Amino acid sequence: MSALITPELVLLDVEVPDRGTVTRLLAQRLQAAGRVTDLDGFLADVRAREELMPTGLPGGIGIPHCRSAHVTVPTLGFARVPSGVDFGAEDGPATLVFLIAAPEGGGQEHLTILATLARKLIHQSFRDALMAADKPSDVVDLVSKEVAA
Amino acid sequence: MIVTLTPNPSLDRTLQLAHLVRGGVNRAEGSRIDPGGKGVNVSRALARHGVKTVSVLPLGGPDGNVLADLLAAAGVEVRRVPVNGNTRTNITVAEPDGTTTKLNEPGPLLSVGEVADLATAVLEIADPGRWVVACGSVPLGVGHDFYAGLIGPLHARGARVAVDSSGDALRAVLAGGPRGDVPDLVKPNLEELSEAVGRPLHTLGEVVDAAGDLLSRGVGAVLASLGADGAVLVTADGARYGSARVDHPRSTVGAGDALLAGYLCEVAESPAADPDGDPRTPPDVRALSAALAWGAAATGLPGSRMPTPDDVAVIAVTLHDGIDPGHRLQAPPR
Repeated sequence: MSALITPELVLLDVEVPDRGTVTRLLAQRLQAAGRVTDLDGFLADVRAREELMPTGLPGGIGIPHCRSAHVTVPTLGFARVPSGVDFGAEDGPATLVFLIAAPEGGGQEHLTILATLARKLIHQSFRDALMAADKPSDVVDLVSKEVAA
Repeated sequence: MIVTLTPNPSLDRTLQLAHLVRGGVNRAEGSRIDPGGKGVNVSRALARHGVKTVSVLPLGGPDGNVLADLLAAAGVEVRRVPVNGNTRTNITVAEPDGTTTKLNEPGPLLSVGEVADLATAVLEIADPGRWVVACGSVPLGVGHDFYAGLIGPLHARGARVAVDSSGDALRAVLAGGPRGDVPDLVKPNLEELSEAVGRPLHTLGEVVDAAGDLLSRGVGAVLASLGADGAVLVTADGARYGSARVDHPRSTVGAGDALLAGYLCEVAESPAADPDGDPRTPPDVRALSAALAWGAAATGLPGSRMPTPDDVAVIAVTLHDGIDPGHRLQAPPR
């Protein structure tokens, strides 16, 4: 089974004008890794979910996600956006963005990943560690540890 | 980890409208959807505090999928019990003058097999020492004795049981299941407590007496939420009363659920002694304080939004040294 997140799926310190841009940057990485087959089709699915309810969480978090026929394997992408990008959270823009992609017809696994991640991101220590990570592999280690736990 | 059971969850859609015209075409100016249901709210509040929680839900149809997704994004794990019917949508029409109109679906009719699946799902994750919280009304097809019948099997697995319900379901729970098992905790509001003991309650003294009646039936603890008056916790160790001030109340929707979540978070998740606190502070006092703070924080937030640790931290809680039995309670807001 492929790892949920790899260093190629981590973007540290990007500047973007809006949530669509950061989602597209991450989705391109997923596509390059062979995890997303149709970029625009996948992005349309993410947008549809985002329109249902914004995915911003308190504490500077955005978790765009979807189940999509254009996804081959459950995947997490991560982007750090120091100046923030709006994901509709009540307390302001997101600096930590996780893109969660799940194949259509998969089990409940991606919901467990999503729930675990959303809950762990409440903890300031986890957010601080993500903010302080020096390189993509540090993020992979941090996330793998928290989501597997 | 805390398990919640919501037999009749909903997808709550709020439509903002300038002015609702009955019989006319009304165009909404904005809308939002939220997961709905008392147990669902308890889980959402816990997850907002980083507490692991699993919400056991009968889900069916496209709205069932949406509900599961929204809960996951809120940090709540869902133990899904697939049902043939469709998960219900409740609609609230909110007008700028504060008028709200609610249109609630009854929810799906569960088959005998689906009700059995729901019970099995709860029992499967009820490990020793774990709290299982059964909340809200029961849907069509589910007997009023559903919660009452779960208590014995849950206790047999070593789980602790809390019930937050009303009417016939609460009465059945308090009457004891087939083996006479009653919950470790019940969280009635004033109206539900009054209904449970069959007499009106106007004062704190009457509330404490009513809670005492429930304890005499074997209930472990009664956490009675009294709206703006605060809350009373009655256990074998005695009765405690506290209140919390909210400067700008916005919505009492879900406040009782947040209160219950705060209590459970303290009794289930905190280490035996708080290293920063006074080691002599009894667990009851800490749990009541948490309940009051979470509940009050929720009333300061719009809709059914659940409080974060930051929202809770700013709430000033007062625990009263004694209980004035003659203290008259405010009538619950209508």
